Amino acid sequence: MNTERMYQIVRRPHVSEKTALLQADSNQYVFEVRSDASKSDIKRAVEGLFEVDVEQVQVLNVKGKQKSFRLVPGRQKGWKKAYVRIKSGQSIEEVQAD
Amino acid sequence: MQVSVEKTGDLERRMTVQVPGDSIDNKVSGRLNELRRQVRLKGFRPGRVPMNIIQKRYGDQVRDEILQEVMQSSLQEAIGEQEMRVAGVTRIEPKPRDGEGDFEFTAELEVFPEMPEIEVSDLEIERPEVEIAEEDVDDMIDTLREQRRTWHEVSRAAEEGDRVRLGYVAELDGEKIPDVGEHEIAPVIGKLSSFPELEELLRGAQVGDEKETELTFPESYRHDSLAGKTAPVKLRVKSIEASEIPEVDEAFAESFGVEGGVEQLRADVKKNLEREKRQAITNQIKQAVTDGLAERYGDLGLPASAVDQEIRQMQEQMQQQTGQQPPPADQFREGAEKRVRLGLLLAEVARQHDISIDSGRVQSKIEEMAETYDQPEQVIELYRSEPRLMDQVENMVLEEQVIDWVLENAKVSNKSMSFSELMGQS
Repeated sequence: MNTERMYQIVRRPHVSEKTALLQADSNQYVFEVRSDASKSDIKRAVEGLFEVDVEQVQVLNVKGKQKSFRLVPGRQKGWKKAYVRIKSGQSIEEVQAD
Repeated sequence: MQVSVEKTGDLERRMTVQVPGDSIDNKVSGRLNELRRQVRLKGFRPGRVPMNIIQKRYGDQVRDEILQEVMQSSLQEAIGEQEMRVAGVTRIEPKPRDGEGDFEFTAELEVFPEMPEIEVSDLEIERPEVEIAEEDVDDMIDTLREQRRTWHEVSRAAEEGDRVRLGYVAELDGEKIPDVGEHEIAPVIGKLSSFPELEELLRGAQVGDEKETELTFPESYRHDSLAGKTAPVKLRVKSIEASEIPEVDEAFAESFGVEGGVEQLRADVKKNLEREKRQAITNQIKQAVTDGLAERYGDLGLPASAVDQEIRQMQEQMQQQTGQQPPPADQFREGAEKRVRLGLLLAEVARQHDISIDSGRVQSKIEEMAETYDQPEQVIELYRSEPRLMDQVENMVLEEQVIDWVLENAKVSNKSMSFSELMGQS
């Protein structure tokens, strides 16, 4: 898997109060990923990009929200969220700050 | 906090200050805690951002800020501790900090020189004493009349006091100067400064007369080719003008915008002269005092940064006045040094003898300055509302007070002189 492909799979880190807690408690990092990426894709991409060892990947699909524009109903795109647990003692510096 | 001072020059000092690392860390984390309460980050409720994220995002920035502050404040503190009188800080530089440990920085300073006890009791100063006499008023009015002199052409022989318009062609090494046409001069008989030999020649001349003579041109003559040369010259008298000086009468007074005729004009002139006299006397005394002080303490070392600052100020002032790029700094150096030295000396006198600004004098000073304007109230108002102007006046007053003090304590001798002598001196 080349680097470009890795960047396509891992779109961006997802940072919030919840993810900050997870980072501290169970060394899990959260990313927004391509909707068609598999757990093993994600594992390889994260290992390649951040040089860490991934222990476990859990994924879920976030449904797009229903929004209406001047009474015309519309739908936001859904996306795939991945919880990635890495080996304890390692950390992903880049993700910690936003 | 540990401070060590190194002498790097006559007035230059290098100061090394050590600040305990703990206190800086404390300040940084305090500031971060504060930030945590205010910062809004996406994904977090306000005030709920975890410390590590804040630290990561703002840590370096906050630390830099704190270091700046610490450097400033501890520098002040260190200066206070060392009891130095600092003229200026030229450089302040943090030492790179390797992780833990104390923070250290060096500052390069300049201090004011040690002031000697200023002794004035044997300073000799002459105070001019002047009465404005009627003759002075007459002189002044004559000058005014002279300014209003009018010229008109006459068709008689030239007499003393007439202006003679001449065309001339000089011959130098066989060449005519100018090669085409003629140069023109218009000397007044009896007031010829550059060509005394012309005077006799012109007296009694008529319009149209042509004469030949030899002239010696002054070094600074306006035509370069003739300057400093002696050459035979052909002259042609083009016209003769007689002058007229206005009589001192109602109309004359009115032409200066004075109502009330000659009497009033005389009174006004006298008032003006009085004011000029007062100013001239104060200036002269001030000059004498400052010269005396500067001479006595002329070997005082001056901090370069104060001089530089003064130079910049002078340049700015000049730029404001002329609207042009001021000349380079070196031209101001001497004047600036003089001013700084004087400033130091006067301040020192004020300090050693507890002279402080007298607000009543400030008041009357402003009024006095306002008097020369058309609408004194407005000027006074302007001074009141503008702190910068007020500062200026206060400085002037303090200076005057110091000078007064010097006068009281120095050897002052009165010297009576006439008004023209006074004005000629200053």
